[in-house]
Amino acid sequence: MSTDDRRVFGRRLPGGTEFEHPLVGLERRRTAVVAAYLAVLVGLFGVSYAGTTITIGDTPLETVTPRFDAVSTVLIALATATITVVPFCYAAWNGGPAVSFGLPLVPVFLGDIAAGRYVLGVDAAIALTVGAAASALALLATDVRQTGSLRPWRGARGDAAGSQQLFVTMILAVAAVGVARFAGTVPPRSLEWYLPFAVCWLVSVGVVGAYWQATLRAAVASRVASERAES
Amino acid sequence: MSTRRSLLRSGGVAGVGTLVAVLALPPPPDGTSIDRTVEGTAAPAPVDGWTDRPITDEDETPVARYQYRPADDADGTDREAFVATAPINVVLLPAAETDEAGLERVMDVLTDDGWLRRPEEYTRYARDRTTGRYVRQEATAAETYYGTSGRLHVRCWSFEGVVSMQAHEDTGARPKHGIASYERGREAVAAIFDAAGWAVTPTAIDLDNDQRDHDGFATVVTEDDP
Repeated sequence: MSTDDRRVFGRRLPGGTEFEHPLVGLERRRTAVVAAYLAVLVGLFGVSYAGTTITIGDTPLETVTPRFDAVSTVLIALATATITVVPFCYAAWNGGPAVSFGLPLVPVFLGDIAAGRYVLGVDAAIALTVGAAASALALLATDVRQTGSLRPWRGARGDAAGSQQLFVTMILAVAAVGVARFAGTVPPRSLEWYLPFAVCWLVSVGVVGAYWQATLRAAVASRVASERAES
Repeated sequence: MSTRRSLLRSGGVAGVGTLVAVLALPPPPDGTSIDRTVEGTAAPAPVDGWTDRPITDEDETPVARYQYRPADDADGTDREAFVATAPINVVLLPAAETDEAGLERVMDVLTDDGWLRRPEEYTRYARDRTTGRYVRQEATAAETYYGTSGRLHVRCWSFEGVVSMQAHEDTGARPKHGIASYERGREAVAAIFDAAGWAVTPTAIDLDNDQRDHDGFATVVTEDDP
């Protein structure tokens, strides 16, 4: 893990350790890049929101210039990418199961705040699904880099790796409960829009399943070995 | 022994953490199915004069026929500077005294069905015949804030007590939203307002604005006097 380089975009990074946790990312510089990306997203969201809510006289700000429409266009594209693709890119690039899971939820939360509603609609269900799969991919990407093996669950792993495995399993459980509730309640058209993203569960369950299978095997093998030693 | 204790502790923390996170999840919206059978009613009295022939000019009635996108340097009254983008396909008659109150009555039905108001969207205009001005969307709602994979989305204007609605199903943003269907938008709105107890007259007014899967007719939705 390289944490020596404390400069991003020519600026010195803060001296704290907030960018250094393995659940956040492998390399400090890359984690800072995604933090900057999120800051841009939040900034654009703020501009777009101001355009519709701030009025001059009786006229909303966004009617003053068509550029606000361009901001909405960019924001919709950026938010959609953040909900669907960016978490996978980040997970493969910099590991960090917690950030990989949280990334797609950021635009969804911003939308909830702006709309004043907290609902598990299609966007939120997709974000949970993608976040869970990206989190599993982050676990795998971290271990592949650290062990140099494409099946890292087979080798001996430390306590920290075990904690990450447990953390990702928790995330999967939470996302699965949310999506199950969503699927059981919403009308068929919402399921139709969600369905293409259901394939992400293959990644989530495949990766975490492989880890737990290896963990169980190791536990059984160690019990058998200790029983043999006792007899 | 200490390994077992630490395992139990980790498992306990993970279990409690999972439970707390599950409890913090928001509830899913309990939306109306688009397949709901709508009991059609006869066209209400206020639109009687608008149902026997096509409406081909926006100066004829308070109903808008299209929503428009402005050119960069558009003047608010210049017809040449506004380009029609999508057809108005639902006309609503809320039981309200003012245009603002009427729009709120309409929006309330959609938010009760789990929709969000003022989602992230492009800005569109409709023409108010009383002033000749193009007016920015007055009330909007959608099923989701961004429509990542698709969503139902409506824009509304209320002129002279009559609400003109453009209802459509968006495609997913790739990277911009397109129109997946006008027909499904109109059907969904009819189903939702029918479920809320409003009277629905399917395809009652010919607005002569057919395009893509839209046949050029607007469904009329009327709120009974409370």
